[in-house]
Amino acid sequence: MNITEPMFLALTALVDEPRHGYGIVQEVERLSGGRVQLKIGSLYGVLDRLAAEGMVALDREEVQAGRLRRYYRLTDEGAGALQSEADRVTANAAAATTRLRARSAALGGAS
Amino acid sequence: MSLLEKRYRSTLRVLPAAYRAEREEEMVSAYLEYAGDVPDERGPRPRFGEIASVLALAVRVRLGGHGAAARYVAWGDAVRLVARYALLYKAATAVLILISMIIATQDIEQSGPPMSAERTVGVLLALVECLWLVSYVALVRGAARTAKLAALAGLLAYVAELTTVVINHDPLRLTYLIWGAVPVLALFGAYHRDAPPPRHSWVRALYPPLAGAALIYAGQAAVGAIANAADMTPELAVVAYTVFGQTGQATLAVLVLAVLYLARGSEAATLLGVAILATVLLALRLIEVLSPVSQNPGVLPALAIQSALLAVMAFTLAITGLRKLPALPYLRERPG
Repeated sequence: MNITEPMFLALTALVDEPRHGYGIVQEVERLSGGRVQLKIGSLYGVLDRLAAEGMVALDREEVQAGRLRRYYRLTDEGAGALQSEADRVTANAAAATTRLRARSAALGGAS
Repeated sequence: MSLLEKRYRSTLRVLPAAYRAEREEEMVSAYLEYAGDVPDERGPRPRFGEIASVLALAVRVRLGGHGAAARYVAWGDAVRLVARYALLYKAATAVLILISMIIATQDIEQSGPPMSAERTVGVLLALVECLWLVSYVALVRGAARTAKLAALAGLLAYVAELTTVVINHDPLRLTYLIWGAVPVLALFGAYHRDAPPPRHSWVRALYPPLAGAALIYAGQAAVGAIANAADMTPELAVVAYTVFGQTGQATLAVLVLAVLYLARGSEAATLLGVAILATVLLALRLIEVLSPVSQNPGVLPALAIQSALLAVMAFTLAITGLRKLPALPYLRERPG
């Protein structure tokens, strides 16, 4: 399954603790430095996909001030998929960094 | 209930009832936390981005893909079938146009003198048709984004036709727009992230448009030959071209497919997809009734017969398909 950036960030948001819908929105915004601001419709599209793949599961329900909060948690499958994706992104970033350093060194040597 | 909550709940009504029964309360809760307290006096409304995200979710849920409920997957498959068949028809037509450009250049020559604006427009319009071939091949090759972009570009060329409709009051021009809009809407609606097209070989991508073009050409050539051999009057030839022309051939193809799929007891998605195609063709035929072509003697009865057959088939397919749709499961995720 292709893990998009919102899915990646939503999974990351659930690594430390289960979170409810708005909690995930806040954490995704924090993790991305404000760059990714999930709309509620988009959030539930992401949660539907992750739940269908067994990457997240319902943890518990709470009612606060008359409002329903459903908390979602990361499953072992989700943690595994996130780890694989993180490894892939890290390897890509490392390859890019190595080549950029080599380019800088070459340009420095040429000047 | 605050005004903002009331309006957000109204927005959520675009979602299927079963989905709302499961998700509405937590979505409203999450949205109100996100939006914060806004007094009613300010007349708050959900922002456009929020509404758009709910609309996109509604389309994705209703036209389901991987991981969705079987009922929504069936609807998604039906619309994906519409996209593939409608694009195939456009792609086959594009192949014919390409071949006629290469082999018989008289159409291009008749459009204007060499290097003139008229001839350039003529060539460009013919090339625009090839976008549909690009779109179909890209879709079968698994490149959904390319397929969507090519089809959208093809549709934009037809939007210019809409201006002609307003100017010339020729309803037939509207049929081009409908033929372009159907595959574009179906592509964008049903081929989403959860329903990527499978990647097939080049042979499987190119063979159907070529075979379709050969069929269309054979059909038109047969009508021409019969018209010549039987020494048909021009009026009768117009009737023959109405019945066996391009839209007529598409109508016959859909009617044959309908009978075939009904006899085979095909699944709901296939039946509903062909029902949608039959309904589109019915709309096209009814538009032709309003066009000047139908003034010719014999054309109106021919259109009426084809329209009636399409209506009966669309209705039968829809009823049979709806009865076969899988029931909705209990959507809620369980802890565990």
